[in-house]
Amino acid sequence: MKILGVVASHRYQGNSEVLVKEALMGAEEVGAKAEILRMTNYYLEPCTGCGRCQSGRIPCHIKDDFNHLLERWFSVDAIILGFPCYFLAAPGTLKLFLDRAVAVGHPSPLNGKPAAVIVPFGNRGFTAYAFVQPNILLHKFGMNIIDQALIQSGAPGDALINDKALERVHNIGKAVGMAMKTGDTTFKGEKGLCPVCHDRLIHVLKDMKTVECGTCGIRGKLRLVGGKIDVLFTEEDIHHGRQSSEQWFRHHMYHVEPGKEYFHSTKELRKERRGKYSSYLPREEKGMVVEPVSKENK
Amino acid sequence: MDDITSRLIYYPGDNLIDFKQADLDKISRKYDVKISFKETIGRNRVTSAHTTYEQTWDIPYDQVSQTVVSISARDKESLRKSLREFITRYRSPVPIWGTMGSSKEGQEVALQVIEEDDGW
Repeated sequence: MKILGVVASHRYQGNSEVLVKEALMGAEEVGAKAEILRMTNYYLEPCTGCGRCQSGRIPCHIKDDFNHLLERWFSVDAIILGFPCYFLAAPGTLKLFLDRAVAVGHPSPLNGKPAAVIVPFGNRGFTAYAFVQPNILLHKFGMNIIDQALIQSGAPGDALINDKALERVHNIGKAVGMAMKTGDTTFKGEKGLCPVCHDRLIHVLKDMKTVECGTCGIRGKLRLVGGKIDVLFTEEDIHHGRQSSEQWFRHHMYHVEPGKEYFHSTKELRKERRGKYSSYLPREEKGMVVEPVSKENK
Repeated sequence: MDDITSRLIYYPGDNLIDFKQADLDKISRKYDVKISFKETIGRNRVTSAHTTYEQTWDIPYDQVSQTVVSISARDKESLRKSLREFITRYRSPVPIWGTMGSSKEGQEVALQVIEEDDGW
């Protein structure tokens, strides 16, 4: 019964690491065996959208630590993911990994297993998208998020002196540990508007009548219940969301892979038109292209 | 004058609800358009306990599981109105090739309606 604490923060012994470790201690209390993985210790290249992985058929061909990282993630029974929210959302480290996760098919080895998300942040009102990336990632792997917490930690190490926060994440760890034991992976946290990701990010579509959870893609009907905003999502609506390992897989199977014939049919036209853009600001003419400041240029 | 035809491609799970002939007939009568739909079950489709898997890479277009809905009208306005009602009920196609096979004008109208009403 292994649980992996994933820290997606560049800061050693920072708030994310402290809070994830506290949660792991909670999980150990109920019998889990804990491991820690620091995402920033691994080298990750960005996804190039090459499509070779075709959603899990073969490992990603980019030569970096991604495939090894996946093996680590997939070797456990639960995940506790922690990262700082600096600018409204998860840091780039997590997004890099998420983009590459397109290479994971269905069912992933984490399918149906429990997870929790812990996000330390600085200032109130600057966290609206904090849970979007982890929700997409963990649901892509088919995991069931059983709780998610935003912890205000204004200064480095603030979490160390916030007993209430430490208690909260300790209990999250315990809950994940119990979920591993009992198999009950239902959501235990604060309910939001969306019944799948439990967030409150409601996206209004262009018809100005329909709303959907921006993360999960389930459409519903906006209404007021007792003076409070609510969205009616039916079982049918939920079924059409994208937030499950199976739905992500379906998306690749039907919306990406059959595209080969379409792209072949437009290949010549694209080739013909590309010339105009590749000859614009030719790279050979120094000064016309903004080049990176490399060691050679210094 | 030739009919203007929009052809909409839906893959399994794309449409919000199942296509019903009675619904389509209703839209057809209301806007004086012709609507037909054809369902294809891919021969590489396998349903297991966990999921439905279908090999769709390197498989000819029309052999992948899909439902193709064709709406034909004599004028753009009827087509536009019927498409709007149809898409509100069933949702628009998802991938970029989702209107392939439409007539030139039919594709223009379909993409306009999709962009106006079903968008993101």
